[in-house]
Amino acid sequence: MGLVTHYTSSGLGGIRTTGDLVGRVQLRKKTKIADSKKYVMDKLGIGESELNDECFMRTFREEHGLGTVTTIGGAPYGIEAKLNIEEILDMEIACCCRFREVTGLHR
Amino acid sequence: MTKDHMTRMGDGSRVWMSREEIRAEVEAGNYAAVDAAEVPSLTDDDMTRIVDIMCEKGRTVSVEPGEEVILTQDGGEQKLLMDNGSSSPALELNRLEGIQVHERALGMDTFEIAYFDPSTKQIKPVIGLEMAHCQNVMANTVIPMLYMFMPNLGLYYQPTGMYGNPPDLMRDFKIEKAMSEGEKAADEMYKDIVYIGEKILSTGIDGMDFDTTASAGDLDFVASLRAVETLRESYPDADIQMGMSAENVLGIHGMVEYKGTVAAGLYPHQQVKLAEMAGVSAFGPVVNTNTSKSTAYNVARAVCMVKECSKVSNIPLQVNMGMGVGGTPMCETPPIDAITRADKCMIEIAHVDGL
Repeated sequence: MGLVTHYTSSGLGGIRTTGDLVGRVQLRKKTKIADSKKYVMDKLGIGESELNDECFMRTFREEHGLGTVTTIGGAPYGIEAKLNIEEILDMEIACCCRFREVTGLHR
Repeated sequence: MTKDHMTRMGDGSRVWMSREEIRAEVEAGNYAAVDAAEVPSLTDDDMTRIVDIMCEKGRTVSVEPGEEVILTQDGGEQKLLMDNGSSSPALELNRLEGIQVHERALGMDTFEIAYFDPSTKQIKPVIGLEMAHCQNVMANTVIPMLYMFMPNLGLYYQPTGMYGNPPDLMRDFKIEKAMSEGEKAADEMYKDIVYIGEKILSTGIDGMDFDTTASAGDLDFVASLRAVETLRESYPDADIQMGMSAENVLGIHGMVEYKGTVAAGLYPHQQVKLAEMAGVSAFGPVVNTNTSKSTAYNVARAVCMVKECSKVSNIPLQVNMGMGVGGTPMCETPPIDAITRADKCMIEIAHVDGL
């Protein structure tokens, strides 16, 4: 149970910032950390200093419907947020593809 | 020489050392890695930097802003739900809640889904339940989600499995029988991994984590690599992470190969090349902690091995930094001073992409 320790020493912060987005790029594209961060910065149109900025990203994520760590009634969450993440990262997400496939919806 | 730096032994106990003693421990750890894994030595600057980090005065240390890396995990929600015998707090949450706590309260960048008995063989009979759970989790979470399991070839051997147990057979000098039984067990495990992998990935989960790979040695490793290769054909975009169980692949068979390379005896910088060939997305090297040595020794030893692994790897490295690996103490409640120092050394010097 050292996850909080790792987060404070070196983690990006998940949906508090851009950690989930950088992680998604890294795992999908097999890119090293610097290239993964650059991809996210380019797609989101943000600078390096904003990647780990909880305050900036809280507003950015709310405005773009990317899922937030705190509750916002009615805001996209779960797969709803991931459908928006697909768009902003220009990258398909497996569960969103499956959602469209089984429901007959289109992107 | 004033012993004014509080540090830890590999079992987590506190010890006070002078800066000179810490330097000597770092050098000894470095040379132990060079000797064991036949990797290049850390530079003098690298070792000085480790000493500086170990001697920082704060309770915890951290990387500089902008140098953060991705956090992955193994064990999924079970890290909150299981009993204390499994190093977990036995919280009475449901599985989805356990995952959402990690996403929304603990700042995880990615996370995993895990069955309470997460070995290949144990998951197979409950695959339908696990698929439904994956669908539920994917609908209700945002961060990338992997399905974690342990290949665990050991369960295919007697007395829990149907195949002869190689160590038992070798004790009776039945060497060829030991090798052939191991090969048959590995084929069975390969088929089971592909079976559960195809089912799990069909739910729309982002990927899978092969955790504690090679725990039963070289046959376990090779069968896992073959399974990755097969799954990659069906799911070319799946996020397939492979985390190892130890720094060195045990030669239980001794002669089994993957794409022309004998698997027995491989260290992280050699293991990662096979993982790349199989189609792994991210590799998790392990370096074991020596509990009777200091954290400075263990961190230097781990960083030395992982630095070379990082240098030769074309895929991201998400190094294992849990209790008892990656230079961290072998302790159920890992001390934050040691964990954060190990993290910082690993990121700054070995240039890993995640923990």
